[in-house]
Amino acid sequence: MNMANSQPGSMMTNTLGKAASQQMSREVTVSAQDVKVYYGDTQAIKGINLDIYRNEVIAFIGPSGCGKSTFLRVLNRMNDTIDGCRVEGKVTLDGEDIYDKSLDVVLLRARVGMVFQKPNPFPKSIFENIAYGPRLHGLASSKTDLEGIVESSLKRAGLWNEVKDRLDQPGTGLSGGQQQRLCIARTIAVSPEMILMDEPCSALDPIATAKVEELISELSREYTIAIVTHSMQQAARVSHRTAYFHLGDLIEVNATDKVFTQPEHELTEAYITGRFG
Amino acid sequence: MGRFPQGRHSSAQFDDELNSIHSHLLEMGRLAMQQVQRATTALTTGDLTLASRVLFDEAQVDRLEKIIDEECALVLARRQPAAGDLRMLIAASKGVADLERVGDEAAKLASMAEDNVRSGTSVAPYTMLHQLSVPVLALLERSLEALSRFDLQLAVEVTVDRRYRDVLGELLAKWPKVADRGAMIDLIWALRSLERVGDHARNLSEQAIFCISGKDIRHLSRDQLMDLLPGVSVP
Ligand SMILES: Nc1ncnc2c1ncn2[C@@H]1O[C@H](COP(=O)(O)OP(=O)(O)OP(=O)(O)O)[C@@H](O)[C@H]1O
Ligand SMILES: [Mg+2]
Repeated sequence: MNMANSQPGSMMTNTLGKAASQQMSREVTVSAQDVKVYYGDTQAIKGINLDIYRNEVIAFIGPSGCGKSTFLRVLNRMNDTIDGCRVEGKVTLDGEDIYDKSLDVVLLRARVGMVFQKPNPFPKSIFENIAYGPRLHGLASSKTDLEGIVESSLKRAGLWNEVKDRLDQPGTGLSGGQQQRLCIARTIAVSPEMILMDEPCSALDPIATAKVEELISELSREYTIAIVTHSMQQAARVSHRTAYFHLGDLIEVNATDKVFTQPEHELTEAYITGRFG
Repeated sequence: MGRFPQGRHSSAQFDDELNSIHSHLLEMGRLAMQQVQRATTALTTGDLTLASRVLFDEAQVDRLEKIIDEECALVLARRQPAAGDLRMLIAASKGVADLERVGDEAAKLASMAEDNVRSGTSVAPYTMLHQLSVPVLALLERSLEALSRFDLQLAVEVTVDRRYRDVLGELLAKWPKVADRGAMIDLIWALRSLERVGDHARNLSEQAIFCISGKDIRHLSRDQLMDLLPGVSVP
């Protein structure tokens, strides 16, 4: 079953995914080497190796508790904020060790932004939600500059037309789907290289979900995206590659069209076809 | 039931739905095969009852085709199947089309049998059809068997089996003198029909291979086939 997608005999190659992956360069953005994560004495991640390429959308799937969120948080050191959580191994971003003592974690989290399951806008105006990051990181030299960043971020998040007349109103007053796109706009306002998304659509209705998914494929032109999702269909729709996690192990990572038509590992097949427990 | 090699789904109903498609497909296959068998006999013996039976049962083959198509559409919409499940549905949808054409060929042969009886055409030259129908029906049976048991090795053997084509070649080479030109053309048509049934049987096995292994073996040479399916012996 070890056939690469280009070989004869692999049917049903998703043409969209293929076009996208052809555009994708093979430059490594993030490299995880033998990453292990412990919560106190319990090991949640058991020595994972994974390279994530520039401008790819990689989906992390697997049963609840298999370590998807934990691994995602490794990539921008969000686990540092969890008591008793310990990370071993090496993680590089553009070749630079992100667990190096001299590294500025605040800056790292701007370079590797994160969007959560539940939209979490600050209790501030729509404008301030976006302006906060660029101001913090000194990305804008003037008020006009800042306004420009706010506008372009909202545009790229596909939210501009819906909010341009009420930028001074609270971000929390938007619908769930709009709030999630606001959070995405906030993430891209600081010009990240990579965006981590942990079940970004699980609180959204199908239309809001479709908008976020559309956004993901547009954003992948500029950013590298890792997304955790419980929706197999979502993983199949938005990602170029899919990684299947199981009990803290990375079982299989392959082109998404391959994973969903000819998974290599029987655990992957059992999971994506709903043959579990 | 555990008929599928991958085991059961968490949703028992999903299992039932796939099992139903699978058994309807096999039922349709057995019926189509019986149709060919009966139509050939009707042609070689001039049995009018058998011929009309074939034409009557054609509706049953068509009914199964519709049922399977509907079932596949329903599972696709409801379950968003992936991997082996998805391949099984694709294989079933395509297999159904082949079986439906097998049924059509049988109906053609049965109509020809009826016409012959009505016009008083002799059945004697038609007896040669058996030489071709035997290997063709055997191939169809093995193809259904491979599909039924998810037997990759058997399915591969069927797809590379072109003996029925050799038989056809031999029959055409030592072609008998048939005085009646119309009858001669009919006889060639009948042989071509059976040949097509053999082709559909092989297509069906190609679908079985895709379903079982995920490999698309269409239009591949024997060497490519062996590369693509390590562990399978290609005769
Ligand atoms: N803060 C924590 N403290 C202790 N254990 C934790 C903590 N967070 C996660 N774990 C444990 O680590 C393992 C992996 O959890 P994680 O949240 O990464 O899984 P997940 O794949 O994201 O699951 P889900 O799909 O339910 O979100 C689980 O066994 C979990 O109980
Ligand atoms: Mg999680």
